[in-house]
Amino acid sequence: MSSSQLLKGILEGCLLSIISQGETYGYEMIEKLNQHGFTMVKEGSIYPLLLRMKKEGWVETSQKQLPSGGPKRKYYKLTEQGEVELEEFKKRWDTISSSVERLLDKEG
Amino acid sequence: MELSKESEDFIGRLQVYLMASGKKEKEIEEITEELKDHLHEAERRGKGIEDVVGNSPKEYMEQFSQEMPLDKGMIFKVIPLIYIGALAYLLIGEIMDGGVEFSLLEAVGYPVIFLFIIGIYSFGLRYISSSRPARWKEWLIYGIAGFAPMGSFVALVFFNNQFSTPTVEFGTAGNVLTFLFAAAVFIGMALWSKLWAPIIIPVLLFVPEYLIGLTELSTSTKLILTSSFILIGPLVYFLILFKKENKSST
Repeated sequence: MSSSQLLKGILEGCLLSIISQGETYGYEMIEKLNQHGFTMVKEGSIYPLLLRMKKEGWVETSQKQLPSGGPKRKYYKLTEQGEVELEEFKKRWDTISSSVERLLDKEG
Repeated sequence: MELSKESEDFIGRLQVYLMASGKKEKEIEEITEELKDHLHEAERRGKGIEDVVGNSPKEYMEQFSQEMPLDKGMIFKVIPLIYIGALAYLLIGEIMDGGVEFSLLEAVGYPVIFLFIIGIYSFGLRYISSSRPARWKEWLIYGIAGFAPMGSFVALVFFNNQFSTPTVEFGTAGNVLTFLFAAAVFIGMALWSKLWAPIIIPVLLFVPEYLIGLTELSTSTKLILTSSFILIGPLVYFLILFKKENKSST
């Protein structure tokens, strides 16, 4: 697995978590990621992931007209399947992160 | 607020790339609208296209392409339709030349050339839109794409004369049926596209040739008349269409 693939999987999990906090759109997700220190993520890279997550049935989208006018904005919402996937991701992440921590502690 | 030129340019190239990769038009539109919204927000905060797309637009386009399914409706419906349309032109031309007659080589060659040309166009458009090659390379690709259809047809005619393969020649009944088939294709295309062009174009191309063929003029006069009608007829038709279009849009 290449490092970018590992990051992709983690990023998908983080996006699920962000969307689970309430309906949101692409730019807002990137801002939240940045606030949490994900500055290595290229802004545009979340869209192919979101496309995949929608194909998997984890998220639903809807177009909403902005009050300020202009083009419609695409909003994302978690599906039941997405909730399940988020829980799965949390479990996987716990295992990975605690193993890595244990390993590094031993070394250090 | 308008998007910057670089962003508009990227969006346009992404659209071409995905279209040439055979993706669904509706999905392409959805993706590009979403990206435009994002670019608006990013540019308002003083960021540029590189911050959004990264250093490799090509890689980014490929990422999208991987997540989008092929438009099977287009590949299995529209492309065969275009092929049947082209076939109808070819057959009518044969009938005008005194009856349908084709060799095994031609029967295999035309479909192969057709697929080859689609392949070249798809590859060329994807390459130009994603890799932004140097000007001369871009023109070279346009040149190859422009020359490929003519070149491969000439090659087919050449090989057809060099090697004799089994030939089929239609009798009167076969020719009449073929003519009816071609006419039905043209009418069907006109109904489907709600345009007169699929009927008018073949009429302009083939009726003068047929009428001239009936006259007692010398062969060279016939040839000159036919070729000038074939050029002038469609040209006049498109000029009329163009004028109409301009009038209705102003």
